[in-house]
Amino acid sequence: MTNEIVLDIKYLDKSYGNRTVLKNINMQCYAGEVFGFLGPNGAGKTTTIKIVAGLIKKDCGVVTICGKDLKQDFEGALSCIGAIVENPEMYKYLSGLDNMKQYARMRGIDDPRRLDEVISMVGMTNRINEKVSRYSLGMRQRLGVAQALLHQPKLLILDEPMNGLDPEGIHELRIILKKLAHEYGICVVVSSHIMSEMEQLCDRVGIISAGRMIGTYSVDELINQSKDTFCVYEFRVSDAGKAAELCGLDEKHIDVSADNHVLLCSIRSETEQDTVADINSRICAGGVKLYTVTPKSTKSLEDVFISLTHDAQGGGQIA
Amino acid sequence: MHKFMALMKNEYIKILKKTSSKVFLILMFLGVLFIALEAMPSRSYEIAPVKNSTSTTVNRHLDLRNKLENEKPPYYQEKIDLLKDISLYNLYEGTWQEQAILNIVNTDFSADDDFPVDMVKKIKEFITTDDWQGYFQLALKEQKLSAGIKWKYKFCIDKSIPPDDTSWRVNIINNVQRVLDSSEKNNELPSVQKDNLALWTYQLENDIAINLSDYRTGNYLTSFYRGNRWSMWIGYSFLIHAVTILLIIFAGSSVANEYSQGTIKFLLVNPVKRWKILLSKYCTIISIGVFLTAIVFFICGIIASICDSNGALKAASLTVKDAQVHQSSAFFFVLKTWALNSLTMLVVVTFTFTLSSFTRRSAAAITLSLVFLLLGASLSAFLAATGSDWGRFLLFSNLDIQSIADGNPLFYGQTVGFAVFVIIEHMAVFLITAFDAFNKKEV
Repeated sequence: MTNEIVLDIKYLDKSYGNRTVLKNINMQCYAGEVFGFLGPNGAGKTTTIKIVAGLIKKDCGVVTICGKDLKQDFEGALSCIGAIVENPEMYKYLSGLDNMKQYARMRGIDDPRRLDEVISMVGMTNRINEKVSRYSLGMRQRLGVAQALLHQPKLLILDEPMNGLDPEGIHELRIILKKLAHEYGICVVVSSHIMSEMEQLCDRVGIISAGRMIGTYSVDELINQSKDTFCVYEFRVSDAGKAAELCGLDEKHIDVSADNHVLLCSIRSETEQDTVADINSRICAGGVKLYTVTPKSTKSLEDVFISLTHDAQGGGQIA
Repeated sequence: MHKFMALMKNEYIKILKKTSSKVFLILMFLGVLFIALEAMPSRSYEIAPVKNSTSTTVNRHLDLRNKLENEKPPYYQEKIDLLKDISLYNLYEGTWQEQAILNIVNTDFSADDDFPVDMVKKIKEFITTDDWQGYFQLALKEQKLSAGIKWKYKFCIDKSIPPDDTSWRVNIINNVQRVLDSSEKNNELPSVQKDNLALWTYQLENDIAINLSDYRTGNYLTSFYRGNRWSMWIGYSFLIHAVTILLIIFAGSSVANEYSQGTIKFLLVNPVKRWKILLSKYCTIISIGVFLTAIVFFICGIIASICDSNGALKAASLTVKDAQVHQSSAFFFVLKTWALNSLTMLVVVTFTFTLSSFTRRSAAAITLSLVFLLLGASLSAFLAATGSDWGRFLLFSNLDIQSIADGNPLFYGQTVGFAVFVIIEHMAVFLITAFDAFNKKEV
């Protein structure tokens, strides 16, 4: 499905003095998808997001939003963006509604119904008239999302939005973001380093490390990468030695534990399920008691992530 | 434009909804009212006539007496006796009675003429009965008087003004007399004196007690004791400082607080160019300043009117050029004075705003500006007094436009044009710094 490109970043560079923070960043994000922007701490995620949002000036490169160049048509480009950068900070002495009105006025939104709509979308209708100083972190996050959505942007950029949310909050936010992307056709860009979250939320993922783009992948691609050719299963049995003979696997794929109760088998991932079922029936048929079958060491998405972003210098140094 | 107004509305809400702003506003108004009412004179003052003590009666005219004794002109002895009568009658210096006696003493008699004993008797009678009209008419008819005194007596008779009881006229009448006397001696008046003469006679003819344009007597703090609502109203203009301090607080926190609160990110991620945001903040603060100054202006006007409810002394703004007097409305003069005094406020608040944008720290911006405000004028005065001529390029040396226009500048040879140029140049530097800092800042 070829959707329009909402965010187009080409050849983006940024340095502070002689420290290069971003080098040759290229990225395209499409309408109607949730795009995860992943990287370790200090990789340059927030910097890139700030450049797109107009808070920092780039050294060179082209950023295009909905076809509008950020440099040449600043106001036009920004009117297509809604963003939360770092923590959502509001005017604490104003009420939530007053804060929303501030942004509404800046973006030329007169209709009060739009405000109500957006506020109910994030579930803040009951507390919207209280001063922001009384809000919890979760409420402020929600208000931040509401502010970002106010002017119906085509591109929604959220910098680590799950920060500080409780599980229910994370769940709700995930639902909202997916709905915005898949139903409303907004391009939602979320940055994070929590892989489990990204796995559940995103359609595509762009990985950045030490200021360079490692690549963009769909989530399915990544998950497949995380699957090895072999995976290990643990069989708890009454007699491991006997089970080893019965299971029908090659010697080098078998390991028997010292107490003779645990059999470890390396099984081909492609035929994983059938092979396991086969081994089960063989062991049972051979009269050995079978207690539990446990899959072990599926390489997680996290490991993929770490291996992809592994710093060549090693040791977890911040560049 | 509509969008810019929306930005300004945002800024207004941000300033006015803060509790601390409301507290400061109330404090400022209370302070203004308190000071204005305190400075209110408890009754209308009239200018006290210059009445010197009589303690030196005996020694007054000692020179004159010695001269008479030494030179011994005709009838010198009678003249000396008359001089003694001054202390006998207990005559204050400068009164018409003393003048009457001096007129005779200063007349040159020739030895052939008789000493005018009858006239002297009549004059003494006039003195004791306090009949100034009688004396003046007699003097005009029969005495040889200087041009100034002749004019004075004629004027007093024509206008029925007793020569020493209406306060403000006395000084002016004596001034005119002096100028006329000196012109008689020198036969030629410098143009300054011609202008002054025109001014004074205009004042006397039109009953204008106070000339607001006269910086020596019309304006500023000295005016409080002139008992006239217009000069009081001008005097109250020092209350602009209260508004200035409040505005410094608003301006200093305006930009800096966005950074310290973290709301700057959300402010800038909006489809509005940065300079428009900063300009809306600046215009909001300046407009608040205008409103507050206007309110304080009218409050002071009302209080001044209450103090001087009978309006006994008239005031107007009089300027003179080539011996032609031009009268303009007192109200516009007061307005002009307040506006010129507000110039300091405009410049200092712009400075605060610049510091706020540049340093992003509200406390530093406010404190430095207060120091700037309080010490700036003193520094300029100090430099002027110690002869450091480069001081003329400083801002505060050029803010008192009215003094420069009156020809009374702090540094020799300052002109209004130069002052305006220095002010504009400073404002340009301030604003350019503020906008540049805001535009370039990476958040």
